[in-house]
Amino acid sequence: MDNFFWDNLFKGNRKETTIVSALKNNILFKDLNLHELNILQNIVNVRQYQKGESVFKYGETGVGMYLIVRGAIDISLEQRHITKLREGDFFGEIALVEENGRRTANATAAEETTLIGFFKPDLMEVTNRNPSAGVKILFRLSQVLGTRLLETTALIRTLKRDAGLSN
Amino acid sequence: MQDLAIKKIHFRKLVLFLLSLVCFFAFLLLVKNMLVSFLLGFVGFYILNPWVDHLERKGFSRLWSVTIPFLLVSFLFFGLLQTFLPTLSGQFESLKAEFPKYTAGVQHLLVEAKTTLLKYLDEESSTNVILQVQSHVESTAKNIFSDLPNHISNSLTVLFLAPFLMFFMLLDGREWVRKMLSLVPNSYFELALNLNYQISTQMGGFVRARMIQSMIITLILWLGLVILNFPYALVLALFGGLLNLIPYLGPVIGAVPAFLVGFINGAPSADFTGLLIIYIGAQVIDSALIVPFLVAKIVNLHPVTVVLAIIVGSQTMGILGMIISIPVASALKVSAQSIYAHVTDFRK
Repeated sequence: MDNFFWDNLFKGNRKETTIVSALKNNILFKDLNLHELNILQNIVNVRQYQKGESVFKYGETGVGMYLIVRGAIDISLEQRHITKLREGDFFGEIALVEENGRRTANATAAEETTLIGFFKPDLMEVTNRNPSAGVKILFRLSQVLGTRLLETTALIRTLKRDAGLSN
Repeated sequence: MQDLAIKKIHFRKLVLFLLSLVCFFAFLLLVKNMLVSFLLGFVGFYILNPWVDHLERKGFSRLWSVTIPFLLVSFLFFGLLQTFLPTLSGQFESLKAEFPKYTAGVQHLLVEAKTTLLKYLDEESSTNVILQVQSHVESTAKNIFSDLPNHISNSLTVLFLAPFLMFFMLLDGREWVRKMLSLVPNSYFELALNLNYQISTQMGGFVRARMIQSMIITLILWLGLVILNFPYALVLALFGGLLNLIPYLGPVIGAVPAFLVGFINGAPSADFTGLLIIYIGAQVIDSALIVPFLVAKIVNLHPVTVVLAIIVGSQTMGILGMIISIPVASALKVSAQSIYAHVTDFRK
């Protein structure tokens, strides 16, 4: 039941591996044109992780999201494995809009992994340099967070119904 | 085993990153004129960066977005220099020529001060105090004039190096920062990126606010001194405006030369009233209008921290240290807060 939140509801083509195509295939950046994607490519941070290396830990301050270009990420909480995310998936996007947000799970590289990090300062830079691209990303981000909220509400409703609670 | 290998990689990367930072700061401190040129380049970078970003938003390439404001500001700067340099050098030459008169005047003031001090201290202590003040005043004044050719050659180097550094900071600064950040180990990457953003945003606002504040104060002092027909108006106003960058102590030290010139020239009491009105008026305008709107919200340091930072700055790097002590202290405060928030474990 835990993994619904971490499931990628917005999967793209897993075969694409270049940075621009990885960005283009992600729902947050799908509205950007080639010029805007090229600007974004020079702003985002590409990071390499070894197998078993932590991306972030529960409780740490988070300032942004990660997109998997290559490899896989294990999401866990209190020694419990929640889900495995693969190429094209993304995680941690709530931190883009949270003030002093804390990570709500552990993310660890399940194999050698390449991630694109997109953080609050990057979002500010895109918005500052190309407001049109910034608005497109923010619009999609709102859509993603809205969908997550709907999923959460639906799950709470199901849980309440299963527990025999009214409303 | 795997954990150990990852820790080793993190450690190596962290050492490499810290080593690069140390090398960078050593380069700034050890190469002659580099620190001042870099700081001035940095100030220029923060002043021009919003214009550059604005042009980039309008669709200009980064190169043109940097070149256009850079050329405009260069023309403006050299235009101002062309206009004010004859006045400035004339006033400086006259100050140099009348220097013996001012030294004698200061000596006379010190003798008078000794008579006053004798009422409160014994002969030996008051002589000591006076001798110390006298030797400090003499050596400072002597240094200014005897090292003048050296100062001018340094200023010329800085005058060319600072805009050069500023241009490339505007053009490639983001790329340099990205390259430096790429050296940070994964476990500290988010912290480093966010820290860089916070410090950069805070510094940008701070530098712009302080520059505008300093320019307004210089203008007020200059206009006031010109209206008063006071000698060395431009030199004194520039000195007052520059020293105004130092909180609390700066405005007081900045006003001293004007009053000394007045005392030594035996200026009428009306001139002193005028000087008081100009310097206090500039401070009233500063604290009532400029600080609340421009500066106060940017750096939130406790007054005790401010004074301590200024003392440490003056002990290590003199007047330059006093000027840069506040931005450095606020950068350290932001860093400490962010690192503390990052390392605090919220897990139960």
